[in-house]
Amino acid sequence: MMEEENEIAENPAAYTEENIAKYKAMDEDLMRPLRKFGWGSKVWIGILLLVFLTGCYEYYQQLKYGLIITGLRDYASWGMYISNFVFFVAISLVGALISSVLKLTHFEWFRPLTRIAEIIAVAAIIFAGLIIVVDMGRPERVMNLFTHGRIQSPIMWDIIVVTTYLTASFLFLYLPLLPGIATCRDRLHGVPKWQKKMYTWLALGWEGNPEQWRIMKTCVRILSILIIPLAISIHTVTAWLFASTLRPGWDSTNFGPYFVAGAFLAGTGCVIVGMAIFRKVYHLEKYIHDVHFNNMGKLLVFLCIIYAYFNVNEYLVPAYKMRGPEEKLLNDLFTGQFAPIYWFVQIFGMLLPACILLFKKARKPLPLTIFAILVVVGAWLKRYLIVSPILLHPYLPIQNAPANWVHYFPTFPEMSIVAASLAGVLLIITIFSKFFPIISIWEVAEGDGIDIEKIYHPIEK
Amino acid sequence: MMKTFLKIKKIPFLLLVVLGLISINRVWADETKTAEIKLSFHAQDSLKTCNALVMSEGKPLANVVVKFYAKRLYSLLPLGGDITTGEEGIASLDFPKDLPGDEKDNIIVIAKIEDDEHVANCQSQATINWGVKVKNNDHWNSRSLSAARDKAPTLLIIVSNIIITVIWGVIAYVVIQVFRIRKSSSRIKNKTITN
Repeated sequence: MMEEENEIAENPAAYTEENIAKYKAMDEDLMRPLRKFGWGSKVWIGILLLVFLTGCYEYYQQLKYGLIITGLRDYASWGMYISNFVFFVAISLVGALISSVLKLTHFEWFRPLTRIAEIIAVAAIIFAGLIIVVDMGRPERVMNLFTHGRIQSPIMWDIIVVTTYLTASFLFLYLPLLPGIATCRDRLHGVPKWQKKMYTWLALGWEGNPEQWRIMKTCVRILSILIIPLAISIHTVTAWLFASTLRPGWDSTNFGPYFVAGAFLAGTGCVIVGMAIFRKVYHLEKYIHDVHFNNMGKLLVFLCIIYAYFNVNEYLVPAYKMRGPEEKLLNDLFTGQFAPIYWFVQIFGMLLPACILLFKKARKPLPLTIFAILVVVGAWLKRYLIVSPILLHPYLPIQNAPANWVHYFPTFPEMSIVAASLAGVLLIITIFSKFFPIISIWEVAEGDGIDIEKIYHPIEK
Repeated sequence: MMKTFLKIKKIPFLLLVVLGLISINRVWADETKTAEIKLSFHAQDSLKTCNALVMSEGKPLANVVVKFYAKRLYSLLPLGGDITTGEEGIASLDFPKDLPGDEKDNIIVIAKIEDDEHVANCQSQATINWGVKVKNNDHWNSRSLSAARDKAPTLLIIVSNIIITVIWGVIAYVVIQVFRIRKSSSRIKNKTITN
């Protein structure tokens, strides 16, 4: 550090020139994906749109005929939709983990990953809100929550927390993006007029003057602090939606931290998959190094172990007692109809990654990405296990319930709508990465020791 | 000859059949006596008893199992299990002291003979004002977690509003700062033009 300062003092012009060149090269690399819209991207977006539109059509059918076209009945009234909601809320937590926690604890290696984490968080939380409305038989009544909502109800807490977290996450994504948008506005040539106008409008007249940098950095710092309790509360409140209901499997005081731990794990898995894909497709090997995968792999191991600990608490302690309805539920999970999903989640979604990723060789990009995909799939299935089997084993069963109420399997419209929501999240992330730099140029430059505030202005001039 | 023999033999056979039918009828009649239950209530100090007197053809029936129930909103609540009548034909139930009654403390008590080997199913019911006074659930009118939205607990309203105001206050501050970023840019432009 001292040597660097001496160097600057001796020859400030050379230092600035060198850094400007470095920054320009970085800028060029990260702007390249925005300049071309290849066939691969078009096909990918086309597939996502097809899945999304199929889901929209099925939702239209659901609106027309009601929830009867789904597998949801009086027993399993929260099925695949709510599992999906919990999954989206879980992965949205990653924005807080990567961007805030690591930023505030002065970890430098995270810098190229912040934007990937933040866009995953924003896209996931948008669809978390939408999927709740999809689960409603009468979606127009969602307004009643605002006009007749009871502050005593966990549903109301969830609505408040989801909207607050979405707003904060959006600002947390947008503010550090301002220099990037301004760069697109000034240096991205040959793009349609509307795109240029969009950049001009979104850049808020960003010029990189000291006041703008100061305001932006202060706001980002404030949001980094604010977003941590918000992120934890969104998942805790989601856990309380379940834990405040008297049902075997949900009647637990552990549920808040159990959900938060699971959310961190799911989100980290998503970021690893995201960074692997962006690195490969946008050729970002210069910015997302093996060391990033190595560190994320270590984080994944740590989170797997934490989550395994919570799973032991949630399953083995009740299994030791095996009382009443919990016995039926646990037998269904351990050896019954849900056993294949249960053991897949435990083994491939937690134990195997925790053991194998302990070895450095397994934390290389390809094997780590494969394990991260397993973790993400396991995380989705885990939410299904938290929601559906428990609903089928109430403390007070309905007398003379029809046979199709006591079994649940999602119908095609449900699967299609859920697939559409997943496609929607991927669409947002893909389209975002096609219009804005997916790696925060100024944050990476700052991490490389470049005084971005000093050199940004000359470059843009 | 043969005909005369058959005629002579038929008579005892017919007699046997008639006797057999009579005995079956007697046995059947023995096993399915019709009975009547009379309920009476006795209170001595704090001990309250409900007696069911089982009578058949004016005589008390011993060793008959009587089941007592209290009528609830949707079904019958069993009281005291199976109670067998004594020599006097009385089955006695120690009446529970904590059974809620209706608005006048009345409880409808039902005594039943069900699936008895010797007595046909029968039941009897009587009303007694031994119910415990139950306070009406007035949660709807007082502040509680289960009350309507305008009856939420005061502490919950205060705490939740403080949290929401602080967090949205911070968000509002950040949004104002976003506009300041824009303003600061135009200020520089204006300065340049003025210069």
